Amino acid sequence: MGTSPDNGIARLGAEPSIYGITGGVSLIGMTLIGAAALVSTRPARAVPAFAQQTGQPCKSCHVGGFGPELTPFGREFKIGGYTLRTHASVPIAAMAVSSFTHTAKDQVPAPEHLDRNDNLVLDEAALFIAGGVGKHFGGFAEITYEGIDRHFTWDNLDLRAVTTGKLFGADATFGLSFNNSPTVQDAWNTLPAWGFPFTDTEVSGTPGAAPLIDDALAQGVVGLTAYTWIDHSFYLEGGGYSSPARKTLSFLGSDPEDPGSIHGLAPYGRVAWQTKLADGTFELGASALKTALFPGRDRTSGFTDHYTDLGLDSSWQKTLGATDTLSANVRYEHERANLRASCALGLLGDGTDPGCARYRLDEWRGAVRYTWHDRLGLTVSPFSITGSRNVNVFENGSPNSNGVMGQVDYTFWPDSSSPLGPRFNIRVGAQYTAYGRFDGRHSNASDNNALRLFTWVAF
Amino acid sequence: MSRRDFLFAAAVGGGAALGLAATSAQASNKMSPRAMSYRPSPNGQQRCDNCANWQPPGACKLVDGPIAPSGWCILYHPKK
Repeated sequence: MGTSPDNGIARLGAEPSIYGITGGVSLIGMTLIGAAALVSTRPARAVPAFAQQTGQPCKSCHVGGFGPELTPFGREFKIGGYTLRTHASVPIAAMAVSSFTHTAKDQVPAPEHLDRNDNLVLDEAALFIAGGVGKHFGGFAEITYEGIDRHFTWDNLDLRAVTTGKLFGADATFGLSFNNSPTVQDAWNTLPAWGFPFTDTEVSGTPGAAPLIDDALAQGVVGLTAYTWIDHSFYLEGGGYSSPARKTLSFLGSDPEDPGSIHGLAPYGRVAWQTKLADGTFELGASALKTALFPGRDRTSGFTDHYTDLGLDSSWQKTLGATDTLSANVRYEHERANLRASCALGLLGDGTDPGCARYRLDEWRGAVRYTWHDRLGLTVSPFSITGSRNVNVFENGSPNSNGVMGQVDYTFWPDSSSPLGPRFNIRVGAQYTAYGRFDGRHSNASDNNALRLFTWVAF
Repeated sequence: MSRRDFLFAAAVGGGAALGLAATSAQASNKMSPRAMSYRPSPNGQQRCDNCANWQPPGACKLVDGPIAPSGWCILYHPKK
């Protein structure tokens, strides 16, 4: 996915963004808007190279025969370091997402490279290197051309080393993940990197406020985490993230100043418990990320911006008959932030109050999906973001937004039976997002309602 | 070297290296029977010995350990 040039500190005071918010928005407001933008452009991922490697049809690993929602087998494959192999494979895959988006009200002025409304775009085209090598190593790396921003960038990266053994008398997998986005290594589709919506666009506006863990650090950091998966039931993970050098990120196509550089290491932790429940697979988990950032990499204030993100998540997935699946994913995220550096630097407030940007956010996201005959999917996904008022941070002084997204999609060859070969697959779909509140306002919230028709090709 | 050139070279080079390593790799880890909800009894007409992953006389391409011909797991998909 990469970062968007519209989401960063570098754009402070720039022209009105594609979100229809004017250039007077504060630095951190823009950063938070950037986080939301990244959420809105959450990547669509399916890796046919893994299907060839395992000899399994798409639907073995993915609900509905298309990524990224993982089945129990898909989770085991990922936690196992992508090492399961039954066939030689070409470890390269590709995908492309294009879409047409209509918003309830024209965006004025028109976003850069786009019309005010009814935009037909190539959202992204991506190339994957993906595979497992022997019993202990596997992973994937992704390179993306972002069609709206018109540039290449590195994208999701997850390289693993794994082994198996016993822990407390039970079978256990032990692994390391080197990755570039907190939660991209996760095996459940509740956390930000792989949560619903599985594909979205930068074309239409999205709420400005979002916790930092909602992809704002994606491709702007690197991290190493260690994990264990005990008795196929308990998952424990811990590690940390840091910021690569400015030149490195620039070279890789990410904005090095968005949202800033991490001071030291940002610790990340994750626990999850999975069990059978009502003939389905149930998961309950928690996650934590604590981050101290130098905003825009500016260290001159002597302070950092502090974010503490604590999350709870749960999922349940059940196969009905041979080809239908019902799944539910829900996540709650609580963030406390104190952006002292931004206040001290005068990026927020008037520069006299180092406590000018304390706030909390509470985010709920859920998604219930029914997949019929591994092809036709219907998803309903409500969401809510609430938090403390702060005129220095949030557009309109309030982070509150809520709404619901509905999606209908159709996958052509979930059983890998495409006439163009088993690696080729297409999903088409329609999404509609309706807002009840948008950046604190009820009035005119529905102006941001959006209909998106998309095609997603993987091969 | 431009970013575009670098990313392209990294993709091709990394893919080639991974491909060579992958095709020469030994058999990899199989799945745990428990994790795949394996059981020794069939699920209706679905049995291990008519599954695409069946390896006679008593094994599976994907699931570890001895496998009963009459067994079943969540990875079942029929032979074509």
